[in-house]
Amino acid sequence: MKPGGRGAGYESTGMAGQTTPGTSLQKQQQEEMTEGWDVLWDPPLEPKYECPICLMGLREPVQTNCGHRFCRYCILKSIRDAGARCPVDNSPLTEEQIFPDNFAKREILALRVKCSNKGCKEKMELIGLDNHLSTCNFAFVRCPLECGDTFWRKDIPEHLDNDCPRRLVKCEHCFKEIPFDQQESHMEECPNVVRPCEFCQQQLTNEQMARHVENECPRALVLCIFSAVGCNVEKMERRNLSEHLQEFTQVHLRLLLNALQTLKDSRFTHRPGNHSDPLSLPARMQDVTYEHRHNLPLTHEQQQMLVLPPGHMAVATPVSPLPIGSELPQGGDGIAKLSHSLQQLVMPNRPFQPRLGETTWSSAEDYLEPVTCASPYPGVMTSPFTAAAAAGGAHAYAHLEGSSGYRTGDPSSVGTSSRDMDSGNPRSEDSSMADARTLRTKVHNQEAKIVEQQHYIRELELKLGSLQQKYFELDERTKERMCNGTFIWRIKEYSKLRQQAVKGEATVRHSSGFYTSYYGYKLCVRVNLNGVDSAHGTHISLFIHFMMGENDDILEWPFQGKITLSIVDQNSNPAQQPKHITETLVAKPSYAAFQRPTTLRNHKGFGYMEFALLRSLENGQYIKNDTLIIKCMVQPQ
Amino acid sequence: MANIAVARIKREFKEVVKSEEAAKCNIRVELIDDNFTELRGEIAGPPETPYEGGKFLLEIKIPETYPFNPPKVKFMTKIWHPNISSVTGAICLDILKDQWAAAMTLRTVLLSLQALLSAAEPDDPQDAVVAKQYKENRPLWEKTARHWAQEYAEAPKSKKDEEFYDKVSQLVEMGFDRHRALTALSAHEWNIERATQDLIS
Repeated sequence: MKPGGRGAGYESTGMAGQTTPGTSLQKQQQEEMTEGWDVLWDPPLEPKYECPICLMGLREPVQTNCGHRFCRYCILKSIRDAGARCPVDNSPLTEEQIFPDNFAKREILALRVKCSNKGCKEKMELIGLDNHLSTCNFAFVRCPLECGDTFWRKDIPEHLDNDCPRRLVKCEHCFKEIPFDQQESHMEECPNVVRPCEFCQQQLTNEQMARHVENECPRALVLCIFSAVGCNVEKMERRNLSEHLQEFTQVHLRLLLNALQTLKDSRFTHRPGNHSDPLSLPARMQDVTYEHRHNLPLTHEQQQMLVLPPGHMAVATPVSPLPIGSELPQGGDGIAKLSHSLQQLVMPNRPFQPRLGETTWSSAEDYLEPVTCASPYPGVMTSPFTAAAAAGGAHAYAHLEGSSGYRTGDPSSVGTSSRDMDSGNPRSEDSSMADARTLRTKVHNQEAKIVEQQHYIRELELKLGSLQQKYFELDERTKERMCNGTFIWRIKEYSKLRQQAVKGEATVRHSSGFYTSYYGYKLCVRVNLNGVDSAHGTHISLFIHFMMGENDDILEWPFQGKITLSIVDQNSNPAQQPKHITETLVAKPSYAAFQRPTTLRNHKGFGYMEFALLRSLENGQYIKNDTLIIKCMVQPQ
Repeated sequence: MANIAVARIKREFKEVVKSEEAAKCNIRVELIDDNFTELRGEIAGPPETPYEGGKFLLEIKIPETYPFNPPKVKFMTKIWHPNISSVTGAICLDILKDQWAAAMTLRTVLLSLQALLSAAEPDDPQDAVVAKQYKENRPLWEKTARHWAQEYAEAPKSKKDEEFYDKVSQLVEMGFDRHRALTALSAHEWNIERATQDLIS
């Protein structure tokens, strides 16, 4: 085709590096590459048609000046390997002294042969053997779904219908098509399959299960919601949780207070930006208390913050190892008040402030966010507590409420409590317990809501993912179907791929499939970047392969029409006419390459072994940015 | 081994097995290994020669480059012949050397060797001692060759050859190895004294 190329089209097998003996007259190049015909001659081959070198039927027979016949391949090999003489009579013989014996060739191709497949009784002329083999019912072919098994061609449909572990079957629950051998694992995932919950035995679909176990199942084992602040009761059934919460109210509140205290401490001792993590509280608590025990000097910043109003001394003094006499500023003031209210929570005979109950543990941290100073009093809850201090604390709290305009879940309750404080009417123990319960329930409810929302977000993410996937598929599909038979294949990283071809790692590449029109034939392009067979190492080989399309049943077979293969000239210089390397071939209906594909991709292709000299591609004209562009135009008749 | 060589040898093997000559038990070939790189050949001593009735085993090695290079063949059965070494079994035959042609096969090689047994070429010898005897004392050569065939190739014995057996036995009784004794006697016109001297020196 290109300088030095041969004119003949070439039918090739689909698998790289594998060749099967072909039969068509046109497959000259391939035939020259092998010894004689190793087929079952019936009647047996006459000796005059036997190559004296390979002892098989003459393939591409040639005659010598001295009157002997050989396969073209055999005699050329003999002259090259064993010297320039005739292998029969040892008379001098050069490559110039042999000539094709087309008479013998025609006679041999017309000889009768038996199909070599066991079980097949067919006889045909040698020339028709290849066509027969490509459709022979007794040929062994691999399962097109690549299950790894091979079968007689005639048994493939049956295998695909009934046996193949990869055949698609409909899930009776979700009606999705799933490979047969993945049914079992699908059952685990199928959203519609109903299973008993492992805890409560309630029958639920897989889709409902996770949520059920996580949020609803009364018998699922859960940790106490206060485990984050140190409640180390073992996991319990969810239905027992409320009882536990009831029983351990005091413990939980103490834990909560502890944690809050620590949090404050850590705000105090750690530099701003050193954000606290509720889960690592115990550890931090330790290091905070350590610092305090040793009376580490405070930074200037910290000292500035330590400006407490006099009313707070009562709280701070008894336990604080810190230098007394410093005062907390406005923010620290608020926190001190907060801890105050918490103390009230754990001291039943003190006025109760339900303020914290409005928020979950984590939002309690948020609540503290704007406050940069904290009171450093571990063990504050054991300190003696005076009414004066309580009143002062309550006052300060109300002050914080008003000054920062801080959000609360229930402003009315704040109002009420402030009023309580102001009027100095401490609540009864019963009502504080009731409030604590409300608080717990609210915490609980909010957590449940968050989990629910996280769940919802996850579902949305999944949906988005699958939508994206669908979009890509659709996009891909549109491209392959809307190209109207003109397909552009950009082979990126050409030099890398070519190296792989040279090394033999991947000698052949196939493009994605494309349709000649929306309802047309499906094909792909195959390229051997380092050539194949006789073109190996010298030429780039280019073929088209037909593929199983969606409309094969309504199309006419064999395919008839024109196929144009090009390597695109990427030289952008407008002054120069682009010189694409182009070959047009007309489909030959007798070739296996143009028959209706029986496998996902027809093993037989059609194209050119010597499409272009590899050398000629390397001047930068055809490969730009390490990309080779192949254009294929398919025009059905 | 190269594909073409294996494919060829398989076919040639079948050709020998199916040949007329094999049917008459004149030639035989069997496989030594599954790679078809080594075979064992057997030819019958041709009629009206000193080798008549004998069976001669051949070692056949197939080179990688077969059939563009000849197979390597030598006699495993000891034989008294001008073109075959009585010591190593090496064969001097043009078709196994420069006159080899790719069109030749195991069958033609075995038949050529049979022909060589019928018609020696003393002017192109492999074993100079045998060739000299062949040219200078043909009857003695014939008797010696027949004796070797009886000794090593299971050729039938006849009464008139008993003289040679006695001589060999005499030397064996003197403590010499039987084959060495036979070789020495054959090389010295069956003269016991000269053979003994040769064996001692």
